[in-house]
Amino acid sequence: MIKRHFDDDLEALRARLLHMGELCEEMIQFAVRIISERKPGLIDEVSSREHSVNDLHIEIDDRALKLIALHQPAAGDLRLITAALKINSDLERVGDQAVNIAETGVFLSREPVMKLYDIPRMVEVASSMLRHSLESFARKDVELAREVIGRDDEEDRLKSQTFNELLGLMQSDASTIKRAMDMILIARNLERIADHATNIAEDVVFMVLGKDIRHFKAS
Amino acid sequence: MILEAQALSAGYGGPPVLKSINLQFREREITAIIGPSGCGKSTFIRCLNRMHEITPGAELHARILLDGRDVMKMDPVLLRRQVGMVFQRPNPFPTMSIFDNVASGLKLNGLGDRRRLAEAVEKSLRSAALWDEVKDKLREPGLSLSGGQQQRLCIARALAVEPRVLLLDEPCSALDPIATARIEELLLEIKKELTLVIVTHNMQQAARVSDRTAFLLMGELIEYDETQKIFTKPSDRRTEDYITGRFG
Amino acid sequence: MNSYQRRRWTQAAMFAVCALCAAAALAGLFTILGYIAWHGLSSINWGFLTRLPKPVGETGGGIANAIVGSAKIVGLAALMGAPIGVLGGLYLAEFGSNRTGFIIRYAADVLNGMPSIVMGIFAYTLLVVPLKRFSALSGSVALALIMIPVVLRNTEEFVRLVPHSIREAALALGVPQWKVVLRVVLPTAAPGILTGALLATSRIAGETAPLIFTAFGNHFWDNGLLNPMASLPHTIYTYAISPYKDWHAQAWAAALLLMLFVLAVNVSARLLFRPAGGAR
Repeated sequence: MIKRHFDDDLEALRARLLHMGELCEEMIQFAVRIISERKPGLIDEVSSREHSVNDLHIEIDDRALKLIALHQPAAGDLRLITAALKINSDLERVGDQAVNIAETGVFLSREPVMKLYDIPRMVEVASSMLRHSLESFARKDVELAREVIGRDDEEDRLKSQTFNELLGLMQSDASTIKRAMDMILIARNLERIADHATNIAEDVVFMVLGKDIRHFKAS
Repeated sequence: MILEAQALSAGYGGPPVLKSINLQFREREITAIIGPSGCGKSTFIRCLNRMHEITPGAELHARILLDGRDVMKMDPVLLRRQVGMVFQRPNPFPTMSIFDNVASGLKLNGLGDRRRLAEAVEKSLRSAALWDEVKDKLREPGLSLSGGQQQRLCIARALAVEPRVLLLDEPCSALDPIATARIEELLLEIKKELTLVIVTHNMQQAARVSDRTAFLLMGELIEYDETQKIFTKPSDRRTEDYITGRFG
Repeated sequence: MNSYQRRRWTQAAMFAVCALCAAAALAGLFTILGYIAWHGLSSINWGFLTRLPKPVGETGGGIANAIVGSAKIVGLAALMGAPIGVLGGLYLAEFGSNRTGFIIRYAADVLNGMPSIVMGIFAYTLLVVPLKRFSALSGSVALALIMIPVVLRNTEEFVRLVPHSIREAALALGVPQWKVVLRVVLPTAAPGILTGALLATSRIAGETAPLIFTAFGNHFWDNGLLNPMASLPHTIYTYAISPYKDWHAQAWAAALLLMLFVLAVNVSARLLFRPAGGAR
């Protein structure tokens, strides 16, 4: 087998992508702690990581474009690079969602304490889906990816549940409306994070198997 | 299915170069044959029009069907009028003019009518995207053209006898990128009329030009599929390794 | 002196040596040409070229019959020898990779080195003895036998030089092999073949020994191909060993004539038959 410099470039691309994923996971954790520990100061941790994530967004697109232009990749290499481009986009949105959660959390921390309902559970599902989807990318693990895709329904269900509970709260006590609205927004953000994790998992399946499983129920 | 090779084995007297290859070529499609040096792709294509037999010591065991007829039972001369060939290095006849070169296949086979010859020559030169460049100098020697033009001349010459299939053995490997691009364009035009089989060591060329690609390795057919599939998700690990440049 | 200077001196010295050797070779050639021209030019006049030889001892007279005779004998020899040589060479080049081809090639190479007088003896035995007469025909046969192996090997070489790709291109068009050889390969090799045939002709024009006891020479106009005929080389021989000064002068002139003929053929062969597509 010929050793290719190209392989080093592909490895670097994967590494940067995984680093970006790590940063996103951390952003989510800090954002949630703003809410659960009522520490608005943690938003700085989120902001600094957001800068890095945005830089990586540009850097990874740039690397991928260069590899396509200069190497005319085919087969597995081509699928890796196109998957990387799509995952890059999804991770950048995840970062945006984390920032939204953090900012909403800062508002919440200045209001009286509120029951968190299923939000912690949603956080757990969303972050584990994200972590596992990135792991499946790192290990080219199709089974793990399929598991992630399967959990999307769970998160949707939790979101609907939270929505209904908060709606009931708002109808019974008008003073909670502002806080409840913020919570609904946070639930929405978490549900979107889970959607992005699902997208990442579908991209991993395509990267490994060459099968496009988007837009119909994975059986 | 216009051309089919069944259990094709061939060699030059020693160990077999090709081992029981089965390959079918569809009408009006371009099929590319790729593989590392020495895999037998040139030998294979030369079996299809029975040019392989010309080499001393050559052996061929195969059933090759053209429109269902066994070509091994045909007169090779008649076969070659239906299955033409263009070679790696342009080889126009040195003593003939451009006109005579293109007309040679017809003239040598007895066609003498000047008007019909002129029509055939113009038609072939147009198909080969060469007419505009040479229409005012048809009487000049064939060798006075540039390399890329000479190769298009050879293509015109092969087209003039109106074959059903045209075999091309690395037709662009001696040409610069611009000449190569022009020939690739004209192949995509020609395929509307005939079936093309092209041997190439340039994978990107196979990707650009062909509808189906066959990958040969050490005399065996490893994979044969739609070109898009071969280049995005090949089924065989060896195909993937070859296409991504991990060996070859 | 340092090594660079030493190298330059060696270079200059070797160059001088080579130039001297080349000059020596050329000197030999030009000396011969000059010598013959010097001695022969004065005798060449219209009468010399158009009159028959005078009886022995008388001055004046010409070598018209020898000129015509040479033309006929050499012409007939070329007519017989060239086609056989060309077609034989063609066979060897196209189909001669087997044992038969090897034998033919070997025989031709041996014949090439055969002394010309031996060819003369062969023609004598073959034609002069059974017919009980000397004849121009037997002379032509002897000359043709000398010519055939030369033309054969030359043709084979030039046909082999035709690139295989040309043959393949023609075969791939669905042209039968015999047509490929005749209508594609042969025309491509034609310049080389024709040059070779012409040069072989000019060579046999100067052969003397085989003609001595075949064509035998003739002091008068010839009486047809089945009778003795004069020829330039034979006349030169006869006149040169005679005791007459007039005949010696005529021999020089005849030699000059022969030499000019060979020169003309050489130059025109190379000029006329330029190979297709450029220099050789």
